[in-house]
Amino acid sequence: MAPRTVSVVNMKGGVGKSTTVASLAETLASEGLRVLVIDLDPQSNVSMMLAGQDRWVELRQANRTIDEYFNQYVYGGEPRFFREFVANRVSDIAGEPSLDLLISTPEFRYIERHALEKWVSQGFDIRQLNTRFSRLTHSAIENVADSYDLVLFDCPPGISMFAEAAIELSEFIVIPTIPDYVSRLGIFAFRKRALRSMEQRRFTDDRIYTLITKYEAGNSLHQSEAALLKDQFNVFETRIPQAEQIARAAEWSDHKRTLEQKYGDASAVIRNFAGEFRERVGLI
Amino acid sequence: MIDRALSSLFKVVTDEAVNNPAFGKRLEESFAKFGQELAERRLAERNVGEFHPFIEFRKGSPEDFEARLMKFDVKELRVIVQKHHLDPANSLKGKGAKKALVVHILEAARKRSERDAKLFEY
Repeated sequence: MAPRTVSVVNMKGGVGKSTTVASLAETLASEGLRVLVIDLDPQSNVSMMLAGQDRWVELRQANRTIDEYFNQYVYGGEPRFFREFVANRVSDIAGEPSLDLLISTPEFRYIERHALEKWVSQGFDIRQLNTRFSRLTHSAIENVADSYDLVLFDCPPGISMFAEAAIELSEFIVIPTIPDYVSRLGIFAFRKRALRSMEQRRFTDDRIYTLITKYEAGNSLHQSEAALLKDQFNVFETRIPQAEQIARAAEWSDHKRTLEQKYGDASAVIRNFAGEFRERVGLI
Repeated sequence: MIDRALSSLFKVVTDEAVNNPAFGKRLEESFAKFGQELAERRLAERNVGEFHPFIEFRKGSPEDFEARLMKFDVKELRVIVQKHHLDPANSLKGKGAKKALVVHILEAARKRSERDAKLFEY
């Protein structure tokens, strides 16, 4: 059975995309699902969170990165299967959950530019390049399809061609959003693009979900904007709180720990969100 | 010595209450049983409940919305203005007669609704 494919994306930065991907992946993997995270963000945040800095460096030195995967199609060379780039059993959660990861590096930001330069000089137009990136991403997922229940794409802020490819491939889209005015604007800016992609595949907008993040229950602005988001968009009931423990969880622990130790009081909310996510994307 | 220490302590608490709304609200809650004014405000908040002007505006005509606003009293209308940040320039200065508050909320909701509609078209 093909895995569920989900992109976590927002035009705006700092809304908790990588944190959402990391915590969701860890929770679902600890519940027994086989999860693959693909980091499409050159900031490499989710790579660092899930692999830890030491393993990230090792993977980078072994050329097992997303930039190297795409590099082979831009510059040529000995082709390697997608699965060879994937790091198995990442995360510092105890019990060795089935959570795999394709890391990103800061160099990833140059791949798109180099590919554009090369392929445009060969006569390809932007639309063809988009199609090419989409096909490469699609064939990558096909290469590992039997190994996973869920593939999560952590997209960078803004829209890169890789993020476009991920969106075009994804059955569901999650938009993490802080309930404030400018963050809500980020949804409008992105939603149209996501909607077009969904409609092309005869999906409806009920596959585009908004997740309220960094929520402060005592903040009247958050209360007001959260209610408005719920009225205007397809919003998860669970709201991820602004919590020190969630921010601290980003730092790698050399000692394995439980989800509760890692996320503290917020672990209950994170588990609730994972449960709601499973229900909505059909991973029960 | 103690007066300076207490003065410094209250300054910290005051600053935190101003800059951290959650903390400020908790302080307010601890004082509520002693303050008639605060009790009245809480009552107004309860009466306003989940009423959200931007959401309610879209449910019917502006006239219907205005009629619903008129059912609130002045304190409740002020709560709506404050809770949903409808007077960012403080033009009402926390005052205003009932009709003026209703007109203000109606206008804010109308503008927000028009702007959001444009964003959905974008």
